[in-house]
Amino acid sequence: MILDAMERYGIERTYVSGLQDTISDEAQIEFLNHSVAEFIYENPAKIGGAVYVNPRHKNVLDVIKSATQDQGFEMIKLWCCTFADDLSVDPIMEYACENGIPVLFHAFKKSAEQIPNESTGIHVANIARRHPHTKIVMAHFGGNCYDGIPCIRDLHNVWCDQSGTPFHRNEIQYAVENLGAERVLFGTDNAYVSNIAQVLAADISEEQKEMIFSGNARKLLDRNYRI
Amino acid sequence: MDRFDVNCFCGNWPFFYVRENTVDDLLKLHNRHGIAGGLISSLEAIFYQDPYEAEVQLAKNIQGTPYRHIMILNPMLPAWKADLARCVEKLGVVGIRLMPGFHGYTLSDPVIDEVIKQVKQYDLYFMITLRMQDDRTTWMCHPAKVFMEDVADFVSRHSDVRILLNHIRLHEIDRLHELGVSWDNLYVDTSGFKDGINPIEPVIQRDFLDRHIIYGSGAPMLETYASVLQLETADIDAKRKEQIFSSEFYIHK
Repeated sequence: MILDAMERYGIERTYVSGLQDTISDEAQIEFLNHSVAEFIYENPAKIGGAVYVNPRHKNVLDVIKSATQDQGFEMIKLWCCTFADDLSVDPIMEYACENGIPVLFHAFKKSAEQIPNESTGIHVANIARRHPHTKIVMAHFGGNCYDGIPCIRDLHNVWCDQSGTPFHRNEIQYAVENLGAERVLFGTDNAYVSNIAQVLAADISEEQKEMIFSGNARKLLDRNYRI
Repeated sequence: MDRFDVNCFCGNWPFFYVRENTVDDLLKLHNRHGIAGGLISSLEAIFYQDPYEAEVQLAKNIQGTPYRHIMILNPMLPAWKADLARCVEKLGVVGIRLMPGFHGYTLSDPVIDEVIKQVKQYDLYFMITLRMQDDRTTWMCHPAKVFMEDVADFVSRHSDVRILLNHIRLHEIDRLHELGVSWDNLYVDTSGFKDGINPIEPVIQRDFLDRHIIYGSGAPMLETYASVLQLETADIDAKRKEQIFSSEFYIHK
């Protein structure tokens, strides 16, 4: 389905991660990352990966090293196993910083039914302050952009992606006004047309749209690009 | 065939800044996407204690435009019936929009049966707006969920009124179908479809929705271009697309 969507909408490259239970055991993590690794191996030109980890696992750094050194993963993904600012995340951030690898944090402020350990903008801000030289992506604009974006507005090691955000108008424009276009990333989370349209319809320049669609991601993912 | 938007608004939203939110802005936005007109409501009328004031402003602002006025009707207000009469007779209102999640009632409330009598008396368009934004991202005001069981029961009790559901999600359509709802008098607009390679295609595959899907943008709260692009890029028959865009099955009584 991802490849079909990419072909249909002219998306050259997609970064994926595997997710299942909100708190994954080691076997599940291994299975999910193996599935993504196979996908990368089969489609190296089109698919990149974010290695999904549970910071509480003893082998977490081994999983990350193997994925990023041997299996072609280019990002690290953390979901709801811990809050983003949990102390167990620190070694991951240090490794990511040393190796120029961005860390993608799920963050979603919900008005109801917040998942246990589900980070919001403030958790991402806390970890970003502790690790100012680690490249961080706050997913979904923090869920509710008016909650998430103000938290990380002044933290220049944090980028934001629009994936999975509601298809409201003005969110891209709000993000660009608050963060600058250079810190906004295109993402889908399985919502292709609406998210493409959000960028195309935003009242921003063509150059800024290009940055959001691809330029910023290319720069961020370059391991030689350091903060 | 002209494109027609059955679900659009103008005005301010209390909880975040909505850019380009006037009738003139909407007209430009619609023109950009080949949309010739629409059924429009006032965002302020959702929240005002005396919503008639907002309806008067909307009536003034749409004079001479291709927009037709849909009143936000709150049947919990003591003078709702008199206001409806004033809106129809003085402001040219052509339909009403119920927002039960915002206004503190359910569709099984006896007052709704009285509302339906008025809808028939004035021959009005009738809409039920299920939500205005992603339910997860509300702030300060958290509208109650509108349950599909209530909608199904309501539809079965009012089979002689054409009902448009705004901003419905695909899983809610499937729930209505599971509940055995009759689609004869029931319509859905496209403003709530979002996920997947193309969110319109799975909706079209539901055969029971044939002639019951109509184009609605949710502008200016939602991105109009998203609603246009998803229909334009859908892998469906061109004639079917134009039928949805033109809203012909709903608009032409």
